[in-house]
Amino acid sequence: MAHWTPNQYLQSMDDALSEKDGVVCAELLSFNHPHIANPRLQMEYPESTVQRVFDPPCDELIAAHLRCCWAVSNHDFIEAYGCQSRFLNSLTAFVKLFQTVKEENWPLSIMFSVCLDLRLFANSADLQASKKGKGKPGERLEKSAELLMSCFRVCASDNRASVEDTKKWGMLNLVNQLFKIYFKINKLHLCKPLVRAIDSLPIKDRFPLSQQVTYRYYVGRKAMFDSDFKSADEFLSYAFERCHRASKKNKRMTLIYLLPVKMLLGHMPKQSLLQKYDLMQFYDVAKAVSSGNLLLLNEALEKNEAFFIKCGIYLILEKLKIITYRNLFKKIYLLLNTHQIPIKAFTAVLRMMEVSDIDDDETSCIIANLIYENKIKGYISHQHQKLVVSKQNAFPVLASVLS
Amino acid sequence: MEDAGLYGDSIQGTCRFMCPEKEIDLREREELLHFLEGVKDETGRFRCVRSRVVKEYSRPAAGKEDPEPSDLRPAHVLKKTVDYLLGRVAVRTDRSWSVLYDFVFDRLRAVRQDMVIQSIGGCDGIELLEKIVRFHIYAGYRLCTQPMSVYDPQINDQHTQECLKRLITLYGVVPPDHAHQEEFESLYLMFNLGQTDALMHFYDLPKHVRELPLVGQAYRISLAHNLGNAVRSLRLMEPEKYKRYPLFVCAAHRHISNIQSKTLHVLSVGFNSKSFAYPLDKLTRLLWYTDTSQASDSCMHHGLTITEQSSILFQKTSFRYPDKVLHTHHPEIDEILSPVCLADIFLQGGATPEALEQDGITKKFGTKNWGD
Repeated sequence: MAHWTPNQYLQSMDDALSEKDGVVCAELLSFNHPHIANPRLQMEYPESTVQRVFDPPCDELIAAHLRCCWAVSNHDFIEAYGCQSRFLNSLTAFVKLFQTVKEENWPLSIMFSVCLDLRLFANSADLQASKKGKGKPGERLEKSAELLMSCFRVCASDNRASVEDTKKWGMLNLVNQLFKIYFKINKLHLCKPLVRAIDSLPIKDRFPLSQQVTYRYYVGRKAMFDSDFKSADEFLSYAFERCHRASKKNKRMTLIYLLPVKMLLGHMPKQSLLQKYDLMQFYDVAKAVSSGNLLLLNEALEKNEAFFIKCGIYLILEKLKIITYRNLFKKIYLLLNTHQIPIKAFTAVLRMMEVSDIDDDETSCIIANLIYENKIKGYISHQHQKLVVSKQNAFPVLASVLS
Repeated sequence: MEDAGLYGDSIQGTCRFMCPEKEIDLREREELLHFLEGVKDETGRFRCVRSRVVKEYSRPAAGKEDPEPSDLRPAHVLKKTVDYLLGRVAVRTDRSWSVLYDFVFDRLRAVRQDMVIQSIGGCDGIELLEKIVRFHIYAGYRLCTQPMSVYDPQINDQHTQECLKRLITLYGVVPPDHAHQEEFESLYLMFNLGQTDALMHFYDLPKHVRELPLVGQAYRISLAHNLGNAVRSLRLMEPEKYKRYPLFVCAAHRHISNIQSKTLHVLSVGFNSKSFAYPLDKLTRLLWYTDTSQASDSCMHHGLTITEQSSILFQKTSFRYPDKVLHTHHPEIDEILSPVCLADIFLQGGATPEALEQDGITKKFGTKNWGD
């Protein structure tokens, strides 16, 4: 393969196309394949050569690919992408080809590979551009998302083909690619319509497991971002449990988001789990939350600030403060062993925890919020400056009250 | 249009005045001049004063020709235009301010349009946007009590947001050291109080920016609000702390009514009782009501009962959210606004590091423990 003449390459492509062998076609158009290292295939102007063997729209697709091989060989990804016009063409050409193939879905593999390369090029091109101080960050990624969307539309609208042959089987792969982009460029709101499209698919549970795991990883993170912690727990747990055991890196990534969600729901991670996945950064956080130690929580957050910020979970860890208050107040309640606890007692303890400038009014506000969120059963009496808690189950199990 | 600069050199304006000559002639001929742009001559005809005519905003539309360089004002002319609008027009006292607002709003929009077409970013873009943001934030407070027919808060908010977002994006890409970044990063947080996006943006800022006193303070206020701690977030933004920097509080003002509503709801659940009441004067202080009568109006507006002893009976079953949110001016905010001259607010922002030092902001709020 690495020594093919252009004609040999084109011939293999032609064979694969006429046999409708999507997988081989995909390989021949992929940048994750040895043929791209072949200097004879790196052609700046491949059009005339390609047109001798192929008719439109295939010729455009293949020509664009060869031109892109040339650009990549120069290691200039801005060019490879700004040759974007080429790649863009290749994708539109593909969409054309794709649409003309009615009631068949063998070109899906080609689409997966072309779309993956497109996203990766866009990413590298953005990186190179920002190093040179040119352009807005993420602009090529954004553009590539639009192109992926055009593929997505073709897939989503393929209603007439039978279940086996429908192009809808391509939807989840594309959605996952799009998620990757939207998370990278911080446009999470764009995920919503995609989720809706997948949710309404009758075949949504029959996609390959790997795709479903990726999908739930992103949907889980999105739910977490929207403070929908129950759903986040569900999706991320699925992703974590069903992720292939060899993909330790992916499991770790999932855990980074699953852990805070679990903690918000009152489940603290075991030390052995944290050790296994090299996530001991969470150890003190978990300890602080479960023991109601605000001081330790602040310390733990500060100590690993850079890591938590990089993962995008700092805010949700701040939210653990509410759970920490609840656990702290529960301790006070158990310690005083009464159903009528003076607000002053809470304020005094919060002062010990170095909450700056705290007074009874603010303490009452914090407690009122906990009652409002059903995390404490009871009411505050302003006259008596006391929190009166329910005789039964004054501090309900967190998992039962969080939505 | 925004991408013009990426795929080729974007068009460069050559217009040397606040308004292209073509437009001046057209609008004078067609009697489309704004009264702020001219005077009546002896014959009673309205004539333009060239130094007062400012290019109007015109909606991009299909089929419209691309603008000529002579229609577009380069960065230095845009700066002059903004300084004129904010330093000379928006500060006038002889006209109702809402009239001035409509004029300035439209003309600033045209400024932004010229910026986009010419891809004016960098330090020029930052300087222009900073001033425009200040105007919109001030207007949002000043006009909040006006009826919809006079002022639409949604439109103003939308433009504020757009400018702020563009501005903080520019801070991120234009090489560092922006004199006013502290001011505007904190305004962004205050304007989007408690909102996840804005808080997430804060974490993405370089550490030295996060640690600027005013930015850290805005973060603490916003986070307290996000966690439902209204008492803390309102206390931290007491206007008298921001005398040199009134826009800081103005930016968050649009959230005050919602904070009051939400807190009344929380208190109705937390202090739920048929017999125990909560003193009205305390509520007045905690939730920034002007006086007890405003507080009691608001409580009743939310379905709550006021007892004869000037106390509130919080009951979760009687609480309801009102259909309409009323915005009011706050005497404390008015107080910090009144001594500052408007032109200074718009053009200088009013916050210099020395001023902040004098107000004790740096000392009062350490940078550690943003959390609580």
